[in-house]
Amino acid sequence: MKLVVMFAGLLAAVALSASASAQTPPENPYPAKNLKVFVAAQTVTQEGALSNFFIRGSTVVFRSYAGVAKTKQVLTPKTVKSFYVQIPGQPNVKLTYLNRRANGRWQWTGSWTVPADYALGIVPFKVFVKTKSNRVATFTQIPVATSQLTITSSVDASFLSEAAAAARGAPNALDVFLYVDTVNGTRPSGAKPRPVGCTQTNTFKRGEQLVFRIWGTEASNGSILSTENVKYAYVKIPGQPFARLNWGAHGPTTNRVWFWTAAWNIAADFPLGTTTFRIVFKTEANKFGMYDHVVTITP
Amino acid sequence: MVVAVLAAVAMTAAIAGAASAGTSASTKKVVFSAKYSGKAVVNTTDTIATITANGVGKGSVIGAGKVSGKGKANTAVRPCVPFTGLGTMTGTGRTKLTFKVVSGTRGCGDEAGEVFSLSGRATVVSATGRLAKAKGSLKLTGVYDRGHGTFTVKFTGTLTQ
Repeated sequence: MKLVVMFAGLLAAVALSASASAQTPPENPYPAKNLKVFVAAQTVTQEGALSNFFIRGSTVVFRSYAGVAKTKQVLTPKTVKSFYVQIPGQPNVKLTYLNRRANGRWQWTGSWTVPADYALGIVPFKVFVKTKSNRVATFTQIPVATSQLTITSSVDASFLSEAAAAARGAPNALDVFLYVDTVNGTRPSGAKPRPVGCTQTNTFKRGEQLVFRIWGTEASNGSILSTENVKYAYVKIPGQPFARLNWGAHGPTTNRVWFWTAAWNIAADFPLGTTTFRIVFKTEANKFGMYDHVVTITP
Repeated sequence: MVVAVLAAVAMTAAIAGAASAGTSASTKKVVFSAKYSGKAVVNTTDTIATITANGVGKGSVIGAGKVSGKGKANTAVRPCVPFTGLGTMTGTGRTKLTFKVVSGTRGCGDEAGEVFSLSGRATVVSATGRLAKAKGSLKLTGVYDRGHGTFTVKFTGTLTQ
C-alpha cells in the first residue's frame, strides 16, 4: 500500500513538472545554443550604409567575419578553405578578404548586383564558411521579416548616408564573438515612424528610436551569450547614460528567437554626424567582448 | 615576572590567531544550481503587480523539491519590469533555502509583452538541512510566459557554508 502511494506521488510530481515545463516556451537562442564556428554577415550599400532594402539593379555588398571556438582565432585566408554567399536562383557570391587595417572586423566582402528581373520580396541568403580544418558554419538572417534582405521597388535614400567604418583594425583573436546591427524602432519619441519598422539601418534622424540587436558566442567554448553566462552587457552612448542590453524573445510567435537588444531614443539635440557606440559584454568567465558600431545621425 | 607576562600575552595571541584561522578554514564553498518550473499568478492594480509563484524541480545539494515565492513588480517600467520578493526552495533531507529577490532583478518582455526573460539575483536569507548556515547570492535566470501563466527559473552560484 505504501509503495502504491509513493508511486502515485511520484507520478503526480512528474506530471506536474511535465505540464508546467511543456507550456513554458523554451529559450531559443539565435542562431543556436552553441557554435563551434561563429560566422556573422551584414548587407550594406556600396557606400557602407547598413540596409536590407535594395532595388533591382542596385548592388548589395555582403560583409562578413568568422571565428573558431576554442582557438578564438578570427578566420583569415590562411585558415579558410571557402567563404561564400548563397542566393536563391543566383550564382554563389565568393567573399574575398580585404585585409585593410582600419576596416573593423568585417574583412570578408562580396558584391551582388540585383538582376532587373529578380523577384521582389525577401531574399533568404545564406553565408557558408569552411575552414582548412574542415569545420563548417552557416549564417542565416534573424527571422524578423522586416530586417531581412528584401528586393523592393523603391528605397528611401535619406536613410542611406555614407557610413564611416569602425576605426579599429581586424582583430586576430577574440574572447567573445559578436554580431551587431541596428534597426529602426517602431516607437520613435520625437520623429515620424518610418513606413516599415525594424529595418536594418545605421542612419537615423534625431528623435528616432535606434535599436541595437546583438548575438554572440563565448569563444572558449562556443556557447551562445545569454543571461546564464553573461555578467553584464551594455551599449556606451557618447554623452548619455549607458543603455543596458536585454536578453529576450523576438520575432513572430511561431518563430521566436532570443537575442540581445537595447532601444535608445535619439535626443532632439544629439550631435549630428557619425557617432561610435561601443558594445560591451562581460561574461561569467570574466572575458570581455567589445564592438564599435558606427551610426550616422541626421537632422 | 615581566618576561612571564609577555610570554603569556604572546601565547594568548598565538592561540587567538590559530582560532581565527580555524574559523576561516572551516568555511566551505558550495556550488549551487537548481532549476524549477511551474505556475505564476500575477495580479495587477494600476502599475503594481503582485506575483505568486509555485514550481517543482531539482538542484545540486538541495535535491528534488519545490520553489515558491511572492513578490511585487512595477509594470510602469518597460520593456524590462523590475521585481523583488521573497521565496523558498525546499528539497530533500529537510533542506530549505529562503531567499530574497533583490533590486535590479527584472523581466524583459518581448514585443507582445507575452514572454519575459527573467534575470537578476537572489540573496540567501536563511538555510537549513544540507545547506544549514549557507550564505551568499545566487544568479537568477528564467522565462515567464504571461499567456500561459508558467515559468521556469534557474538559480546558480557559489554559497559559503
